Amino acid sequence: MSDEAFDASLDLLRRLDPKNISKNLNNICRLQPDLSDDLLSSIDTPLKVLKCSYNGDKLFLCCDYNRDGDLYRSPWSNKYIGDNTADDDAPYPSSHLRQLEIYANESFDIYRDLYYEGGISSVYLWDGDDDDEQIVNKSGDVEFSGVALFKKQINKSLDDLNNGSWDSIHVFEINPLNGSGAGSGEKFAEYKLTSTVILDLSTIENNDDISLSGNLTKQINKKIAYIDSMTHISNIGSIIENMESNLRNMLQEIYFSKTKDIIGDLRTIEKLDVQNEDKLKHKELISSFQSL
Amino acid sequence: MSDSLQTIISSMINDAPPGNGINLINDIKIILNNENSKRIISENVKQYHLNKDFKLVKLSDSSVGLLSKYNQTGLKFYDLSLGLKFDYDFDAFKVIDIEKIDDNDDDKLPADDEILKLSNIVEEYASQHFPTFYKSIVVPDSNDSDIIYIIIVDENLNDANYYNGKWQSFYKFTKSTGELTGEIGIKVHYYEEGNFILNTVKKVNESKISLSNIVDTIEKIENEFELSVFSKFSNLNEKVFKSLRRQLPINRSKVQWGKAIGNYKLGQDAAGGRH
Repeated sequence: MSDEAFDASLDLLRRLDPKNISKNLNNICRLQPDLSDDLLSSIDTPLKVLKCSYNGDKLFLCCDYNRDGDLYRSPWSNKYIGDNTADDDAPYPSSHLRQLEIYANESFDIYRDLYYEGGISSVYLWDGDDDDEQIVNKSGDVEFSGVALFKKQINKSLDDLNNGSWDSIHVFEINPLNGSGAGSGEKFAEYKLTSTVILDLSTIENNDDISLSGNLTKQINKKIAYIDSMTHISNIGSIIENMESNLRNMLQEIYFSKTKDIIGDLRTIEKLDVQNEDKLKHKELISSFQSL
Repeated sequence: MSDSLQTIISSMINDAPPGNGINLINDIKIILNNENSKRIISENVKQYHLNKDFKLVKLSDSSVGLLSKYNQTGLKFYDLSLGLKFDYDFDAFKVIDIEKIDDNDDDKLPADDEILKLSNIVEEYASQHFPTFYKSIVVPDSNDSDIIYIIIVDENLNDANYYNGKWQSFYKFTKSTGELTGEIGIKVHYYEEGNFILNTVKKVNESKISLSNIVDTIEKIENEFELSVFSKFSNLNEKVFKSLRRQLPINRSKVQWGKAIGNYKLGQDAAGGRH
């Protein structure tokens, strides 16, 4: 039963107005409290922003992957931020992985500046959960996972009634393929990426509002050569860069081109008689040419 | 719980995209998992379609009817141009009990020549601008013969290509004052590899309208509305979307990942930085 309710919840959240996804997700969790944990970790919602009080109030992004209870780990200080103090068993990345996380945050911060010219970015990495797993080291031969987050908002002002917000969530797994380099000296890893962009655009005018709101998700698997752990960050960086460009193009197509076509099919500005007459004239013209 | 349950259900139904009604309701039923909820759900679906989202229903292979509180008489919905009355099951999403309107009926319908004439002009207008699955109705207020309602609904449902669209116009015309008020709305749902909704609503408020220019006015308002939606699209595309995330960095080439990525920072700092 609960599996069925979980699937129904996901299906419902794929249909209801995505502008209200946070509200609808909370409502379903109220109706089915047992499903809350699974739903909160499966559904992407616009990212929450917190200030890292240990690092000059620098802003960071929050999602299920840096959450422990009500607290969120800051990528800038590696400390949990919130009203309470962190539990002793709150999760942290292992020592080399934290070094990689710092490097990833620096790299993606530059990427953010180049593409977003503003906004906020945060990257979180975590160790594989196998018991007999080796701890991530410089070799890059041990698997790990992570998430890269970006958020940018444009708020309406007195002379511009447009609003916009972009949230992108890139969850990745990096699996070094053991033994793949035997003989050749080259090592390969499999990069699995699931990316979601949540995009809200609106114009708020008196008695004449418009809102375009939605999310798009895509997955990709890639096998790429690596040298050490730092190569994994460059590799996943360029996979995410391509994926984000791809999603951006798809969003532009859906939001502005497809939607316009659908509206044009709902109602034509020109009268249908006029359209048909034009078509008829065009046909006659062609046949008169053909009979020449 | 029951008060908040009621609120949750009605808020979900209000967020429903065009089309897809049955799937959505089945999902809600499964999540609620209790027999009592069936009645609450169908009552909320009914109120939604009577008051906010007027619903198109097939009455036969060639005829379409419309559900709204404005063309209700007793427990049934009526359609003057088809001369039919029908009921609708809001749990099974089915038209039931279609019958011919009988002139000797006790609840005789308030159809006069003026209404029928206007109905024909509106129908002619709708047939010229709504190429897909549409319906227009013109009905008098059940209590006040000074008030006439005009409703046009058009649906373009295309689940095979993962989209559904709906246009809805509602007008209230007061003959004695010449006032025309109402609301035009468009909803588009696109759900391939994601979930996208366009929602736009415009309030209408016109004066000095008469029966002779009402349809011309509606045509002008709706043309202007549609054009303004398209111009808002290009505004949002040019001004907002492009400044949220660039297609390529300003140097028009992709990022050089790896150790060299630090050079961007050096370059920026040397140039005085953008921060």
